[in-house]
Amino acid sequence: MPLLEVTDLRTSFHTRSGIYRAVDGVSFSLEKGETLGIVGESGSGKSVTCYSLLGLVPTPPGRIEGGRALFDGVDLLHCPPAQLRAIRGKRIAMIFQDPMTSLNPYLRISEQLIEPLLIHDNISKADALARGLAMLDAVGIQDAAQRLHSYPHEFSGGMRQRVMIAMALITKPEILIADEPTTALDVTVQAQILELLKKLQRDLGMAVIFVTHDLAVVSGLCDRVQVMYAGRIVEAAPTRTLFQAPRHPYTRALQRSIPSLQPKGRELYTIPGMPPDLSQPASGCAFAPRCEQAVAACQATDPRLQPVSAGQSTACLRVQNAEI
Amino acid sequence: MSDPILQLKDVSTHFPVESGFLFKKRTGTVKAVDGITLDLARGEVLGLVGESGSGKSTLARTILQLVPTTGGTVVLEGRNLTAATATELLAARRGLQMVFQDPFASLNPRLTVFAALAEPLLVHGVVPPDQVPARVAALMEQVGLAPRDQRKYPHEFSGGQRQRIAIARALALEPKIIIADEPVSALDVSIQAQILNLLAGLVRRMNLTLIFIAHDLSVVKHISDRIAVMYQGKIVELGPALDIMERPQHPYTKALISAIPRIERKS
Repeated sequence: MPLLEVTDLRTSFHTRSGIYRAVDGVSFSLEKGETLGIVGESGSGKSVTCYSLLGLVPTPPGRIEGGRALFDGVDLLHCPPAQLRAIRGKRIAMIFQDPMTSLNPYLRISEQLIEPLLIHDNISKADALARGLAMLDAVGIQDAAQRLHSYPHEFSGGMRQRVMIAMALITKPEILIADEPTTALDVTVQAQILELLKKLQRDLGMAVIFVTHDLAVVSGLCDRVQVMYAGRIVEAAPTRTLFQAPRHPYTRALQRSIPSLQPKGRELYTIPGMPPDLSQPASGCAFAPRCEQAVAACQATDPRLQPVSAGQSTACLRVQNAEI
Repeated sequence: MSDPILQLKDVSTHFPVESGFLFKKRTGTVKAVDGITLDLARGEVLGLVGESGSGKSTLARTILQLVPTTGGTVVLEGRNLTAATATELLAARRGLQMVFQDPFASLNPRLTVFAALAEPLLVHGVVPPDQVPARVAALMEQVGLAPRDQRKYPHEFSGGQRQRIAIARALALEPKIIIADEPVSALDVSIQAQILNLLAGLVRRMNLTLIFIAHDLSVVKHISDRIAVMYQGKIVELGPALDIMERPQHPYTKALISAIPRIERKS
């Protein structure tokens, strides 16, 4: 049985200018100890998917319209708030993109770091501090004993992200959701943080959902990847398969537009047009207007995510019909 | 180099570190740019890479003389900018334009695209006022925007389109050199490709010289003729783009390149 099973998740935002279907029927599962990458461009719904799971979507304007997210027999989307609170931050933890704004500048690191322990575990403050210290050590902060009582502004960006990771992992969660955790960091610091995440994941045996727009980061880190476009998963595959044999035209187009996969100086492939307006109900495939392979049927029929080869699923009508 | 358009000779920009509140005491110096010597050829694309705090952006601001230099000279087409008067600088900056990282912050939200593009044209008297509308339309076409959108405000455009507006604004003064400071870092992959193609095309067509600042080496490699690697205010390695990427010599460059996440397609 998978650790987490999400079925037909739908989240929309009800605003004055219309209803935005940010997540529109997303289903996936996560096994114990697995690293799942969710990639997509801004507005593809990758972050809202994660926020929905943890009840972090601001309501209103957001609303979970439907679906199920089963974690250890509990439906995260419909369980009582108290039950979700007992899971969130304890068994499922999250780290965010911007380490500069996700720590409270008024509180010492020590207070923020042990807060999840004090809330979730029956533990004395002294014991919690001891575990906080061990955790800071584990995420590679030197002189942890002295740094424990520092304020966030005394840390660099990479160090703050380490503190965030320590805070998320201090309760030894079964699932870590990392939402673009290295996007705001320098490439050398990014490499350190990715290594750290890999090591901690092995040590703790937790599953990771890694949300990013950077295909290269995904390639080195994840076991499986799902690509999102306009609130839906358009392709899901083992990482190696996704890069060696992408099937969905959107995945292919994305890979053709990355400079590192193209010969130097050659004009990069660009996807024509713009992502669709999610407030307008679209018929057919959301990518069809920008797709070079689209035929009339693509505009008429709504493609569903279906297996096309071992472990690989694609929501493209023409791939499913073996036409491309 | 026979006819360099821009010459930096031993340029330094230092910032004082002060402590105290009323009676400030100078307690140290940050050497943001520290003794950089560099020649730039006409039509060349120079990639400038380094981590945050390495001095890339300060070097850009030093070239534009937006911060006072501590030492050395910046010579643009034979004119020494470090010794120029305010009027001379204003004229020189016409040939030296900048595109910034965040197209959401670098455009005035209260100005329509037309107003934003007409402003530099009028300030510098590039064209007579009656020709401004035609020139604005031409600029918009040059960067791939529809001239009919000129009455729209920045918030009505996507990130990629806004970066096009910022590029059009830089092109308005017919500059010789464009300094682009992380112009694609805030954009999505597919949009990033569009802007890179646009910049590369403009450089080719208009014989522009481009200084392209970025932290993403694969992007820099793609667009640059030469790459300069900065570390702690100094250029630690400078050479043809492919040489730097494939045969880096300096340990810092090697570390930087090994840190890039790679897409492994072979099993």
